[in-house]
Amino acid sequence: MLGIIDAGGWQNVVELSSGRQVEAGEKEYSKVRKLLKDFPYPGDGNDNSIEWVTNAAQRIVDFHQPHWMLLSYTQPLYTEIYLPENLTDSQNRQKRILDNILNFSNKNGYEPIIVMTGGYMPLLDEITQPSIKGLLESWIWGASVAGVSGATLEDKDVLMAHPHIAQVIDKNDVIAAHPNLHPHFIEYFPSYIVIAKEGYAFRGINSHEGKTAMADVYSKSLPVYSSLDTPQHTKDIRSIMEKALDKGKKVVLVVIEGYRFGNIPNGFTLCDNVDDWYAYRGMDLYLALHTGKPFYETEFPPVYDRSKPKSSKAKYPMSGFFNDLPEDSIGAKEGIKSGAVSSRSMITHMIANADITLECYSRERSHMGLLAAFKPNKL
Amino acid sequence: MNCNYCEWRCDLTKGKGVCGMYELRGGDIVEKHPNKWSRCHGVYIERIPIFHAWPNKRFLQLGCFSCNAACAYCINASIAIGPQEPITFTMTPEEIVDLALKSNYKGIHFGINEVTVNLPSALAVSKAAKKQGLIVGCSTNAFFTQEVAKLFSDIFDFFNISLKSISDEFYKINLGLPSAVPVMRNIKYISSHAHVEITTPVVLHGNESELPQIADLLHSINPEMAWHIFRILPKHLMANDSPPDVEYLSAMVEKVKEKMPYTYFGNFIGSNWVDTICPNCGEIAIERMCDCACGAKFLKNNTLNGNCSNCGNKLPIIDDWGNDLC
Ligand code: SF4
Repeated sequence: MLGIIDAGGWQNVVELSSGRQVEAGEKEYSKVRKLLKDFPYPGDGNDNSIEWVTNAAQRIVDFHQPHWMLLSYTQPLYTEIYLPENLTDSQNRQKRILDNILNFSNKNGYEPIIVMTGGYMPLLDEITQPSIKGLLESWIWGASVAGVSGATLEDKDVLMAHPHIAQVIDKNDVIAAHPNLHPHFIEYFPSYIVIAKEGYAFRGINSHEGKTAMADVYSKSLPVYSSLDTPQHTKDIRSIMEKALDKGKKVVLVVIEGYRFGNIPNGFTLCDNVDDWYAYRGMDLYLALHTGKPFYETEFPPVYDRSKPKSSKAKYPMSGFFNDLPEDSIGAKEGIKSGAVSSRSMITHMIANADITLECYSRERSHMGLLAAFKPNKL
Repeated sequence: MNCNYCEWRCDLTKGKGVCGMYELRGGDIVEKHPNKWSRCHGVYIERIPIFHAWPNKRFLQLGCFSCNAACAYCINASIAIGPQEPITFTMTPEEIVDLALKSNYKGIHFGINEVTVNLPSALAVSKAAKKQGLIVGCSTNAFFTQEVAKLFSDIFDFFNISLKSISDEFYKINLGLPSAVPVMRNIKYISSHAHVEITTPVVLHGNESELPQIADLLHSINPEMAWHIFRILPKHLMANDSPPDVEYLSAMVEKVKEKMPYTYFGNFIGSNWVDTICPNCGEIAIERMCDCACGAKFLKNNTLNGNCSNCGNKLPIIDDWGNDLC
């Protein structure tokens, strides 16, 4: 898979599996270069990024006509998490996204399946470092889930007695319940995973940002809209899409990140989103939607023990924890054309494994550029 | 009574000082937040960035909060400038060293905020770490006093020093610091005692015209020094400004490389200017890539124990060359 990186108009073609530059003339991959040039990312906190997703997806439809697409909108998450916003503004943004999707689907003949993640509710309080020997780590914003690494047995009692912690998941129990876990999953699973009560968020020593206005809720069910069959579980979505594609239908999977908890739009129903103790979120949710696999069959633990040395990766150095493209992703299905656009950074091109993916390249809301990942033989 | 940690030399009888991190107690200057850390996580040395020492080794990175400067484009303002005080955790030097040893880190790096404003705690950790054979280093703006330069160079093995400009005017306007002179003085002194790499963040229409003069200065200190030119994605007060154009800056970088062959250009995704190239034959000695802002990611070491595999040229890179387990 090749990638064209665009940093403020400067473009570089790289082989994504090695991270190294590939010699390519200015005229090569002109459609992809133009896509990057014509769609500069407005920014994580900018609502125009909603249309950025939709309009860039339309461009991909125009030049590639994919049978399957992923559109992922992250503006609600980035905007709401820090700013205590009134419900009307939040609902207006949600409506703006849904209108975008509806128009896009109608215009291009896609069957939409829409999954809303989150949800978010006003933060009641933060859970920082309880009096334990282990280190509480949470890296994401307003997190209802955190890891505790280097913990002792006594720490478990302290964590369980904490008034704002709902659940403590012991690594040993997870290993015992799933004998076939991937070695990487076991290696990087922290001593404990802790889950906050509704309205509380962890902020550990390595949280990158300040206090948030909202807390994410540990959502055991998520609002889903489907113009195809109704999924019972978020993992079912993969097979529903596959069936529709096999019947010659075109499908667009949409992920809207960060809905206001309890604010379920018309036509959406709540869909199960939990296996064992784990409510799918972030990368695991994207993986479950694309592969239909439960979290314990992947290499990736829900929270990473970051005190463990991360082996320097031989492959896909730009692609987070991934060492390979997931060949079982719906985006790589035989006999179809696929495309993806996402304002979520980095993981989309790997998980979607589509013919072409456009994603913004942001870290901690710092916008660094764009990446278009593509398979030259498919375009 | 004046604090002599940095060149502000604040009179602490008159107030809390520029950084707000020290106070007078019983006639002594003491840290207000001893052993408090806002960050404690593993980092590969290339991320710092340090490119010419211990390639691909992991360090425990520690940071507290606050700073003695106030860069208008600060990319870490929530920690360095505020307004919120970040969450901190108390960890004694022994606990930190224990963690570093348990996790098989090569050493400890003080980054995230300016180490001078947490000096006693950083020194205590460093001493405990050195006793255990760990390597210790820091990232700093080097606006500290000569006394501190001596103290630091006696204990730290490596430094990434941010030399943002050689003009007092630029320091005053953009960093809120009165002069660049102490920084240049400290670079000269420390370079003769420890491993030093320089980072020069470039802001649009700011300091890029100074790159040739900075190259002259660094060349006079050590022509083999690693110099990291950073394309800054401005934040904080300059959050609405665009970053400098890559093409425009890369042409300047190519020019200064004639003087400083180990000049790197990064802090933006996809940079082609973060490999170490043998100046003798042009062979790629160490391959890296920029996958995000700050530093780079190590990919491959093509040297033979630090010598160019093509022409045998000895490259200025410190390492144990595979004789350790990290
Ligand atoms: S370290 Fe802080 S208190 Fe001391 S002189 Fe510098 S700014 Fe002032």
